[in-house]
Amino acid sequence: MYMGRKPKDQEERVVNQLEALRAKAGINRQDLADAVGVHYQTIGYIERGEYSPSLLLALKMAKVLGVKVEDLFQIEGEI
Amino acid sequence: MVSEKNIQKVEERVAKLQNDTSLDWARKPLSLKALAFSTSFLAAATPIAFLGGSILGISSAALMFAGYALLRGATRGIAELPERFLDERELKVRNATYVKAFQNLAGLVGALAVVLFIVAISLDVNDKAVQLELTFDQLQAFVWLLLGPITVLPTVTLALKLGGKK
Repeated sequence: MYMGRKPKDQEERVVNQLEALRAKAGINRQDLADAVGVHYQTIGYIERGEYSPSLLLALKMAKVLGVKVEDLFQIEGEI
Repeated sequence: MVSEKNIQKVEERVAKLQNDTSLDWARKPLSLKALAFSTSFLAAATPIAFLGGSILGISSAALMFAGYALLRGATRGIAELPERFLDERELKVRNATYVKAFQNLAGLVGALAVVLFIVAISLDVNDKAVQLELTFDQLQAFVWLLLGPITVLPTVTLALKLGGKK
């Protein structure tokens, strides 16, 4: 049983449809970043799967894009 | 008391630093690594330069600060900006950076303490007192041996972390 974090290669990954849903909504990175209060680079990191946002930020982004948070983020392999 | 005008000025400066695209060339992984190694080299060279006199030392320190300023811009000031200017990802990156920077600094200061202790016990010890005589240049070198790494380590560590990303 793990007491700490799992090794990186065994961690479950979160995948997202942020880039596609953002493009569908016609919102650019900067506008989405301004709307949710983060730097535009952070949106890029999330879209590339290099950063998993907090629940609060995920909910804010889903609200701005007018989608459910589970449409935006999924655990890899559970799509 | 900080006036509203001053707060606005600071916010404008931070926004400029965070959104500046003129340093995009320095944000490429190879550039970040090269800048980080150059700045580290200058931080290590500055104490040695001070042994050759104040002018040489100050010149080296000025170059080190120039490298540091460039790195600070390239890393968007994430290692040093107050918390309220950073978003959740930047805060996470900064916190991880400081853990690593602290480990590096602790290693450096620890090694320095051991060297100082060895030097001290190799000298004549009279009445349990150790006398170290330093010239002004040597004193400056010692000060910069600490001041340089303390100044540049967090930003250098962050640059290496960002530069190491695939």
